[in-house]
Amino acid sequence: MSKNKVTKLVAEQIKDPVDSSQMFGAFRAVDGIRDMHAYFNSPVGCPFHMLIAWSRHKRDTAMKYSYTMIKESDVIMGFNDKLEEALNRAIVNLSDSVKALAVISSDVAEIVLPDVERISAKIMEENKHKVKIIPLPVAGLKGDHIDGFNIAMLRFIGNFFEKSNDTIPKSVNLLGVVQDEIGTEPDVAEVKRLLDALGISVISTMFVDSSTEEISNAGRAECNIVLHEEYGLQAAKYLEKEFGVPYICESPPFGVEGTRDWLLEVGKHFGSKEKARKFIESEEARVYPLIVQADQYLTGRRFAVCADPTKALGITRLCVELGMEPVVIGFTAKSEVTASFFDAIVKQYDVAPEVLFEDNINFKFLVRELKPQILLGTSFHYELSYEISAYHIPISFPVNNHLRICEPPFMGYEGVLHMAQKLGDEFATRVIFDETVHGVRYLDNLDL
Amino acid sequence: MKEKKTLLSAETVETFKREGEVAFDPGKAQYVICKLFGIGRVFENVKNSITLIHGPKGCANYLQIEALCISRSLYPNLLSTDVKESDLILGTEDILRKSIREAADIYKPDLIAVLTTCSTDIIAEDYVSVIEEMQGEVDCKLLYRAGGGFIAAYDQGYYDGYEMLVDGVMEAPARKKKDHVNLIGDLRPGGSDNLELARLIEGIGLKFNCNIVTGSTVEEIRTSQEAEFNIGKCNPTSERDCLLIESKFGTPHLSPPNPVGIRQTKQWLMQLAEFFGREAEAKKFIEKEMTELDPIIDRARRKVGGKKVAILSGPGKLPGLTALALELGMEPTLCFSHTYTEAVDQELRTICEEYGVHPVVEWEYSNQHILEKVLPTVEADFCFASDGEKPYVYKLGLADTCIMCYGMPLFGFRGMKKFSRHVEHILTDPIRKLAGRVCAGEHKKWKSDAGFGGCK
Repeated sequence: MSKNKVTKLVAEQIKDPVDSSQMFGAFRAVDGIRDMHAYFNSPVGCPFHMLIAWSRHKRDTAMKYSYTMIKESDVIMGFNDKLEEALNRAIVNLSDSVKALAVISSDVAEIVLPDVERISAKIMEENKHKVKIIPLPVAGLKGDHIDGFNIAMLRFIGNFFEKSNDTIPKSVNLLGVVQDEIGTEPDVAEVKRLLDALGISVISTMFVDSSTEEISNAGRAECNIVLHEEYGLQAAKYLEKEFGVPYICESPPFGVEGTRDWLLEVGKHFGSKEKARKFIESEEARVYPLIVQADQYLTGRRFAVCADPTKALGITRLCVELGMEPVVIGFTAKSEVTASFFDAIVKQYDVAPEVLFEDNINFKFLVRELKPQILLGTSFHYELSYEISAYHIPISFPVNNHLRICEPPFMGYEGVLHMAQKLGDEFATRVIFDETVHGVRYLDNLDL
Repeated sequence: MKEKKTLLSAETVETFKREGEVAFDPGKAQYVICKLFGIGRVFENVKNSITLIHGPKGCANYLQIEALCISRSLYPNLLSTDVKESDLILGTEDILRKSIREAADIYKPDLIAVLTTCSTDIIAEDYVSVIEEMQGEVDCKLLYRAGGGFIAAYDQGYYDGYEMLVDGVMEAPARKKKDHVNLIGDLRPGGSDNLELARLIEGIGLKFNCNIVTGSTVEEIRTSQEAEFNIGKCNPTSERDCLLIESKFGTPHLSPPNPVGIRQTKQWLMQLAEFFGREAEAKKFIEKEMTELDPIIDRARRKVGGKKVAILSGPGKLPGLTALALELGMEPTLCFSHTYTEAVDQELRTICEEYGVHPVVEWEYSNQHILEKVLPTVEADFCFASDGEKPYVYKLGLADTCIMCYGMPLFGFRGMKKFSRHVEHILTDPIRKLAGRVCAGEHKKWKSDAGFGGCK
């Protein structure tokens, strides 16, 4: 329980949404597959929204999409013919360069209900199934971006995954990683490094810089490892149920102790526990002397986090391990699995932050009231941190004040080192210059 | 430039236009935003207001992402009524009532703008009555408009947003404040540009009253027509907004071409000065500004003169950016805007004729088509573009600068000063030259890989 005595605001109906709609979640899944094209069965605005969010994250490739451009008259008269014509054009123009086309439905499409399944089947038949058309019923009304990502992922697995009899021993797929999330590429690289130390190879990341062929080949892996449960657990359960592929979904590898626990669990599954112990020993001997430098600056620093469930959980653990005190933790979505992991961490480290699920209104309110010294969140939270003179670190989508030049990881030992460096530098500067030379500007908060 | 030039055959153009009707790329108007965004853009900038999106939370989230990525700002209070599928069956009027109550209670705003989305517009409940009823209950101004993307695109929404303010907030002035001028137009809400335009107004002895709407309070908007004059800052949309205000309150207005580059800035300022009979003050002010600016422009000309530039812009900035490039001694090889207006076309033709240049001019195709099909064929060293075009520009190995980046001043003399220095740096930075060579090498491969309609 939180020791802060602040009465929360009553906001039962209104939302200040950090999280997006199903449609966007589905698009994020499509985005991670190179030979899949995004077709929006929507009016003018929806694809542009995707483009603009997407363009802030990509520098080296250019997004392409097609869409129906549903108009008012279409809502009244229906638009089956228009959809068929547009999809046909898409197939003609794209058939040489893509293997699949995902039809992402908007609210309007799902209310008017054009016959997407029938039209798709007809076009595929005419096209001799050269390009697969995959309808994704992902209206924003029906759920959030996590739901949309999961719907798309399950449909793609259903269409492309093939269980191989020729399983590669000690091999895994990484599930629950999202192409455009901050830190995805370096996190995947770090996790691969950790697994490599245990003699485990990664066959596929499924929805990150992947392809329809790679999803198909993922059937050769012995096991699936879920990194962000909200984005990967449903697929892991489906693959276990339908194809008998086991999965590992443990508290994720954030922080030194978090990484240690994760490695031991993975090692146990693969019979490599001793290997894991030796690796942990050598890594901790490398990492601890380095991060201890930051301790004097970070201990007791009060922080707030707002992110997708796994990221919020992991970053909280990492910062707590570094001696910092969690004040407000905001999860952008509800998740029972992450909540249970989080409860364990709260007990283990004896901390008592305010915890909020899908409640950005109260997150902002509590941050204003409790004034943490650092806010780790999305770019939506930058101005809030500015308002209370807190340091802002972007850790979770949507992010636009972050360049991807030499992006460090959040996960694993390298993630701890990176965060200790980043946070340590900030507070060392504050202690050495601001607090010592210019007074108690930042320490004022500690008396709250 | 006697005729509209195109690199494509008439037959191909017709095919593209037909395809545009079903909006498959490369149809026209691909980078079109919905009506909701246009209305939201107006209220995003009103102080102590709430934009309440009556629909699924994703629509509100999108608006916030767009604010972050396009105008480099955030809605201070953007809320959603979080309508779900089952609500559409049971009705959403009570949801709206409850949301208005909560928003008014928690945030104590001066104004709540209720904007419906595609889903709530389709079920078409009586939101007007809900707003009228709730107006008697809450202590702030309530405004309402349908924002569904299937109804119209962003420019209509932007106009609707202004109309909401004119009808619901602005009042007939009890008095007139002599020599006071309002700035009208917020499709380009940049803070530093607003400061520069206010400086220009005051530079000729007039008084800047307020921006409608960036950074203004509801009270400032209410009393804004006490000013003697309105001047547009973001054409062609400003003209419509100014006319709307004039028709209701009689405030005279001007909407000169956007003050981008020296030529357009002088024109903007002189037209304003003429209305107030302050031509002498304006000439003196311009002379003083140019004394400071001339050496900077000369230096930039020496560095970037002769370079070829492709300009991809909205219609408002296209003539100004073309003039700016020419003032820096650069040669525009492509001028493209996703929207055609006769006035902008005429302005562009006049500028090109003045300088005797003949760029390829394209209107109304999708940006993607222009980038893939046209840009690689025009000779260019440099590109004025926006974030969405960066990946293509990068692949072509061109230097570029984002003209949609509102953090960078573009308007007025100070905009010219900053922008010309920026262009000079970008074209001469050692790292850019190297990157250009490396990327251009990559481009050869990319060109052969990316067939038309190729994915990613």
